[in-house]
Amino acid sequence: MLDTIKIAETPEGVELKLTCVSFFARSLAWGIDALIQGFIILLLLFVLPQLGDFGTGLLLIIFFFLHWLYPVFFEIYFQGQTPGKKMMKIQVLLIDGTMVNWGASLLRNLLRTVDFLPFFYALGVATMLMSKDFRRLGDLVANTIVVYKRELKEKVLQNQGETEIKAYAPDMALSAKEQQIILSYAERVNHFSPERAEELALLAVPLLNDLPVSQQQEKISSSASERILGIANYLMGRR
Amino acid sequence: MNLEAMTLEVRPRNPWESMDLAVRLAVSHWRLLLASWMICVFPLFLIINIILLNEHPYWAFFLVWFLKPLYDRVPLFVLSRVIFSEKTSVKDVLNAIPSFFKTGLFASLTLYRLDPGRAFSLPVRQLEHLQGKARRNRMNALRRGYNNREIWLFILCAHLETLVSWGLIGMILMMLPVDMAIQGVEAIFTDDEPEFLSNAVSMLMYFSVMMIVETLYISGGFVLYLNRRIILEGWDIELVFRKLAQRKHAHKLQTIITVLFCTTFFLFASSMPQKAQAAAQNASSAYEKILPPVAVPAVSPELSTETIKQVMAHPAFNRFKQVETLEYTGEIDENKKDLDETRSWLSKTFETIGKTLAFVFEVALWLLALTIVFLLVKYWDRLQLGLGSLFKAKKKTTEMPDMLFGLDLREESLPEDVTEQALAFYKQRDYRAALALLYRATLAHLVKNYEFNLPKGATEGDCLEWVTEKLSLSSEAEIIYFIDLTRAWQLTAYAHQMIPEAQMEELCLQWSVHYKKQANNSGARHE
Amino acid sequence: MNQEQFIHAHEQQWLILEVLLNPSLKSLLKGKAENELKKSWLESWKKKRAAKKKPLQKSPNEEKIALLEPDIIYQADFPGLYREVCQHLSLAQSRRYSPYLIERLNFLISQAHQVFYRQSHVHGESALASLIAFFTTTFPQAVRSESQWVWFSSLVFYLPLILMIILIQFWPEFVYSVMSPDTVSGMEAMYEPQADHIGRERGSDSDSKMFGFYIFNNTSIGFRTFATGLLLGVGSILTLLFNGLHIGSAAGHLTQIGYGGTFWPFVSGHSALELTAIALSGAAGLKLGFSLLMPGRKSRYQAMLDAAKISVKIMGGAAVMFFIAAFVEAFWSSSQSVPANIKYAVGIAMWLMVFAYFAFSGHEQSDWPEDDRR
Repeated sequence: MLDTIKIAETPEGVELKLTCVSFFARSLAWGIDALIQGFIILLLLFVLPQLGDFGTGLLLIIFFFLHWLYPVFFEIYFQGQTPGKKMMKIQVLLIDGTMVNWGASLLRNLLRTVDFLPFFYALGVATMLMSKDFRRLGDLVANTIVVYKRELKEKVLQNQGETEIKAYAPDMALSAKEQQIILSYAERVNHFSPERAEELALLAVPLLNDLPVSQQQEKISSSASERILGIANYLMGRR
Repeated sequence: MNLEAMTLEVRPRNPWESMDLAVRLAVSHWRLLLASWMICVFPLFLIINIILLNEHPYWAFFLVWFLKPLYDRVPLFVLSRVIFSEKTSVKDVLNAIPSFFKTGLFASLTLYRLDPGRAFSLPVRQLEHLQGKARRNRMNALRRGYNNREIWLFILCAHLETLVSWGLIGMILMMLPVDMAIQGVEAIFTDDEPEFLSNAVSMLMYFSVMMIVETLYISGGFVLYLNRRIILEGWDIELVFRKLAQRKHAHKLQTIITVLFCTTFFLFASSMPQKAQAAAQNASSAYEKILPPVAVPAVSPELSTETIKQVMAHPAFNRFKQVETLEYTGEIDENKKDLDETRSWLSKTFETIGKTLAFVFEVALWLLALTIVFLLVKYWDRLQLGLGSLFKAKKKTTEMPDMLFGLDLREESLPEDVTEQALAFYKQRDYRAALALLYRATLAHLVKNYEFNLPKGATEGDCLEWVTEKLSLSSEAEIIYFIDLTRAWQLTAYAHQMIPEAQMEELCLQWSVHYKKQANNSGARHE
Repeated sequence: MNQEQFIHAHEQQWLILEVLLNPSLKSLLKGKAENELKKSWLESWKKKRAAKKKPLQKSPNEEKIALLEPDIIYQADFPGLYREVCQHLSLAQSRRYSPYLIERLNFLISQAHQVFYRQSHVHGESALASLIAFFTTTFPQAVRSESQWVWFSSLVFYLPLILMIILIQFWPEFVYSVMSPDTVSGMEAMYEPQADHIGRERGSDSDSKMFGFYIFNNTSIGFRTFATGLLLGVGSILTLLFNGLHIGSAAGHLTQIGYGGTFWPFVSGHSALELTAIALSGAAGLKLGFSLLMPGRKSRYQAMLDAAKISVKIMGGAAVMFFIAAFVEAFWSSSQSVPANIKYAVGIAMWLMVFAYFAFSGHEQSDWPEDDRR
């Protein structure tokens, strides 16, 4: 199965999913960062030379740090996110899912020079195409990976208001994946057309057969979709 | 369509992730994709160039660029089959070519040629065979409640194409001998018709870059499209529900599947192109080249002096002419003067500020440097930079520790007759105490008679290493004895094993042989 | 135990861990007395937010966090909590609790894992200590352990440099094979003994300008020398050769035309730091590039990863050497009031110090932590 997910396992045996980022989102993040850097330089170029030679010197020093250490600074102190990466909701991690350290961040950013060769990140793009997790040369050497930053969204079931759908337990053991999908169905049911929703629900034959006695009495004609939602409510913990 | 044969992990993704997946998809089938480009599209490219390149190179370029929607049908056909693990070969693609012309190609090449979202809408034309109003409705349905990232896909791909083309040209220029490169660049700037060869090379490079980027673009649009359908139609839900049903009631399934198939989903059959696009950025790239640094030939000083004299003797350098310029001598406008003064005063102020700041900066830096030097000197010992060892005696005598792994090593703590006491302990079945006494007595002697270099936390292993490697003991037998003793002590102390009586007696006997005398000697010395 | 009970029993720990991971949440806890106030404030704030239709929640559990007492947070034991929550997750998984609960715990662990296993402690007091440890032990040790690359890189750099100086003494026109006439004349103007600026003290401002320029230019060259080493060492070798030839021909030419009296005192001060830093950058690049060519018993990729870890240390140290060199060059070397002999003496002292630093420091572990207790 083709996917862009890389699994990292913590020493405690917990599996973490890292979603790799290819050059589309990354180049945009790079563009935003370049704009910010360019803007700062432009501003300073306007202000600092007024101070004479000292201003020029200061400008060069700032330019040096902006050019080489701007990404390192942000990656170390802002959870692997430069402003551009933050906007694109991506972040740099070590391959094992932990935060980048000084050495790795310095390496991957110094090696931009090589990724840039022979012209405008051509080598970097080529390496990203060839490597499994979209890593450019700097990432390969520093053993880092760029991933989408995980966010925990408050998930709200669409049918929350319809409390009349009674939670009931499925009479078969469901795997984690199956549970997830049933919840996902409940979440997205309002995005489907009613026909499609019913059609999907009808597929899950074994879940529909054995309606609990109580429910049969209450609502004889409950649709397949409603029954799946009832199971979803049960899985949500509304028992 | 058989969802279960899908080679992509089916789950809802955000648009960026879909594009990432598209890259993986394209890369994992790159051989087939590139082969079908070369076989289906390259001949067309060749024909266009043979006819047009010599006479009208710009038209050739325009046509190659303009026909992109036509080429797009090829990678999409391949991708739409491989994601359902259908075996596809280049032959299949060739067979499908006629069908490409029935997929709204005309609209793609005219009205929608400049549509940046053509990669996203192409599957609707080519795979769902929808045209006209039906297609528009379908597109609206797909786009509902969704901010269309296919624009970004287009922008990024267009940039990628431009930049990679430039990169390739730049690389080739870098590898060319300098003269040729200069000629190539000159050709661009002097309005001369670029030569045929360089045109051909540029076209080829453009084609190869387009082949790769266009594949990524189409793949990106296709996966975005699939992702929309996964979200809108709940493919992931369908897949899992089906498997769930198979698990328990396989037989009831068929009817439902049949129903399902009638209701939804696209017909993966044959079809044709259509499309639009706007890669204006691309247009400029092929004929332009970057400037390499111009090398100045090296000349020897004598020769150059001669040459300079000759050149300077030329009449062109010996013409003189009188130039008259006007200078305002009247009254100066007071306002302007004020303004000028203010300006110069301002810039002077700024410069003074700058100078002051610079002075402060320099002083601060010097202070910083001095502080660091001062701190270095002050904490020299603590830093252990190691330079201190230049001035100090190299060997440091460590103070002899009184205790090692819980054993007291001071000689005063030893009993009068070590072996007797040890044997007595042994008889009382206090094996640990017996060996501990013997071992620490041995160590105490060694420590006393040799220079002792072990730190406080040394282990038995460290001691053994120290004795066997660093000390020049009088006899080999002594070393062997120490090894045996250490082993016996470790067995007793840590493994809680009993040493046989014979071995214990042997150890005591040996101890007397090795150390009784020494103990006496040293005792004598003390007196 | 059903899911409700499970959540009830452990949720507090999860909340505490969440607050520990996201210090901005601490503002939500204000002690029990203020809780009521807080709640009403939170309500009104939420209403405002809802009006703006912009969910600006720091966490989905804000209300529950607001009920926590601050003391619990300050006394919390992060590693213990982390392990416990890991255990909760595996329990929840094996008991097939709600996927949302599992997702919540997995997310919490992914955050905690990043913090728990982060390799460098960038925050807190240890930063200074690790900086000192880097320069007293790590850096010189890394340079010594890769001494073969340092010597190789020095050879590639100094050989053409010295060769060029000698050659130009006999064949002066050789300089034009390396530099363009413009560059040569510009250089001559800079060091001409009769020039206006020679013998006059340069102001702080132009010194600062040159400081900026040296930091920007020289350090960037060093970085590039290192980075291009990844191309199987070719980039590093070319850069080293080029710089060696360039510096050598400059020195050779200026000496040959008799400007040595202004040139050598100028460069003597910073030469030790700057030239060594260039050689070290090259060594770091060569180490990286050649790890791919000669991986030894490791896979090529693994060899490169291991080499990179060492070479980035060398490069980091070299970067700081460039900074110091820039300072010396801008503010000391340019000074006109110091007699040449003193400058030579300082130059020689610098060379000795650099050698001594790499030869002798870092043989023992720095004993900062122990000494601090004294």
